[in-house]
Amino acid sequence: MVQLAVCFLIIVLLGIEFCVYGVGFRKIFRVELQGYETAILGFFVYFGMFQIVALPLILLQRPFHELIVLWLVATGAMHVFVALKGRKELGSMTLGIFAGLWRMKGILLAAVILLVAFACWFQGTQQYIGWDTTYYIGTINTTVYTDTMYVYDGNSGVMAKTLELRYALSAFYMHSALLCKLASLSGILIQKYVMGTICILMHGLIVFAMGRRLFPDKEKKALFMTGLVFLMHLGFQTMYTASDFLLIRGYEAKGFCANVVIPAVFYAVVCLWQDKQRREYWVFLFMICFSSVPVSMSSILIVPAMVVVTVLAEWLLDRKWKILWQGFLCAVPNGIYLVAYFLYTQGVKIMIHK
Amino acid sequence: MYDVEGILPIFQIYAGSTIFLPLFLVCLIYSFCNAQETGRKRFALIFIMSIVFVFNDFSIKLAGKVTDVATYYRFLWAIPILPLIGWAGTKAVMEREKRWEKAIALALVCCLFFGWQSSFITEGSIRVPDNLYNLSEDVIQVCDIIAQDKEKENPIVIFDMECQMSARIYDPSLVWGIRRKAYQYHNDMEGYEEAGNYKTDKIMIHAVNFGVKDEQEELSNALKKKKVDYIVTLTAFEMDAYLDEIGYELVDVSGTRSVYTRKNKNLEVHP
Repeated sequence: MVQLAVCFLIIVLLGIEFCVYGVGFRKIFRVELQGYETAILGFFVYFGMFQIVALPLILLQRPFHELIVLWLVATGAMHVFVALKGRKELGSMTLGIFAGLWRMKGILLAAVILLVAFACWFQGTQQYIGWDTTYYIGTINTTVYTDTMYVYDGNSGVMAKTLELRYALSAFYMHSALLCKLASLSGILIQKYVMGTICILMHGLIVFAMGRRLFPDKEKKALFMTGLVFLMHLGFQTMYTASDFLLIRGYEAKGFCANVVIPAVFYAVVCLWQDKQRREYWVFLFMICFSSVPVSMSSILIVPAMVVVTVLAEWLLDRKWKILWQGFLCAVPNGIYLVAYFLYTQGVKIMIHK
Repeated sequence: MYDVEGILPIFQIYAGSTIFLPLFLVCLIYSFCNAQETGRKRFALIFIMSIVFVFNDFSIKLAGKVTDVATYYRFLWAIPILPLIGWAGTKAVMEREKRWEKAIALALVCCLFFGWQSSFITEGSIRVPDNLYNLSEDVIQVCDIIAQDKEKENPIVIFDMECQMSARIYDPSLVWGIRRKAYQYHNDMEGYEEAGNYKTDKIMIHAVNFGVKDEQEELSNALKKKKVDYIVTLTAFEMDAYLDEIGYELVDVSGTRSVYTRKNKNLEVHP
């Protein structure tokens, strides 16, 4: 029970972190967004910044504890910055969340909260274990156990000959390992109970944001739409669906790609459809693209494909070159990862130092 | 050319026996018909661009090649199926004026979602895990037996497949003696003609995953080659005497599995 309580505490703390990072980013880049949008943005800023800290250390094969120290320093700096410059925004955002919940109070809100809570419980109790599960959770456990990052094969525990860039280009599982180390919990507990729940909650938040965008003056409709989408998830069990990666494998990076990254791209695109001149929406889209690979390697192709399709369509509608340029900028981060990954598949390997 | 026959099966597997894909198309047509002119153009352009750049056999196979899978189905996640149906469903229910109308509309929508047999909610899926790790108690017992007996920090262990998949989730100090690909592609009772580099692994798979007892010399050599410290197999296979003859003695048994270790652990084994 203590371990479950610690997991719950980590979920709350991560939620606070996302808000802090969202507010920090807003202050630095002078972006104006709604409270729920700030939390979504914060999720991507958080993982994007984690990647900036972690990736060089992974590629240089530095010990894992160095990542922990550096990340704590970086997070501390962000907290100090927000405490100095963004106190008011953070306060008003917190108040806004509670005010919003108060406005929507009633049976519908209770039903949606129960539905989302059921999805979290359901995900946590499923016993699916595949080879991928073994690899991902094995990687997290091995990282903590050996104080190395991707030096040992996550599956077998045998020292690798080269860095497996198929996984090592994204620091997502190193973040989970960091949580394991800080909370002294096993990888499976962090993944199943913390990250699986985070995936579902972030998905819910993004669907709610979509609802707010599609029904601008009706909060309750947005809430209803969120409930309806979760209801549909429960009835959409086939081999490839995002629902499967939400309710059974929500703790995997792929689950985050299907249910957080891609819906967030879609949300940003809907925002741009409404006002493509607004700088905030382009910044939002860029940040999602920037952090898509840090969250999941599965985003490496899907996200730029979505950006290309939507931006080209917008350009054909308006014929403004600025749209193409901004869309190109959004696709650049994934393009860089794609080139690196392609070179890896063509034999450019990073040998493991013995 | 656009290969409909190549791309269609992916959508069919994706939709399964659910109604979501047809429902999505209905919602798409509805939103197209109700959109303003710019919206309609946008829909049409995105539809065409999606087919040209993403949803065609060539792109999906090319992406599969880059990412080392046969078919790159993950592009399907980019279709906003549930949000669009959710939007239309919300309009269908919430824009009714009377409460009873809303209730009937909601009931109809729910019937559409759950009228097909592809729900996650089944008798077996509503469960309380046996333990916090949500792993089989048997696997945890096996790991604990090895942890108490081991003299090496990282013993090399060969397991039956189910146990192998879970063991390192619980105890990362263990090292697999059988490779993942061997279990993925050579987990059968067939001979070794197709095994290639995985012949050694396959000999061990035969013993621990199928209880084969007529390959003693090959197994002994494989165990020496892989420097295996522990063998975990199903107790039902009754391997005690067979493994004892090649130098592995029983340490303990868990619920359904037996754990064996090398008799002389100090003996240096060379490949």
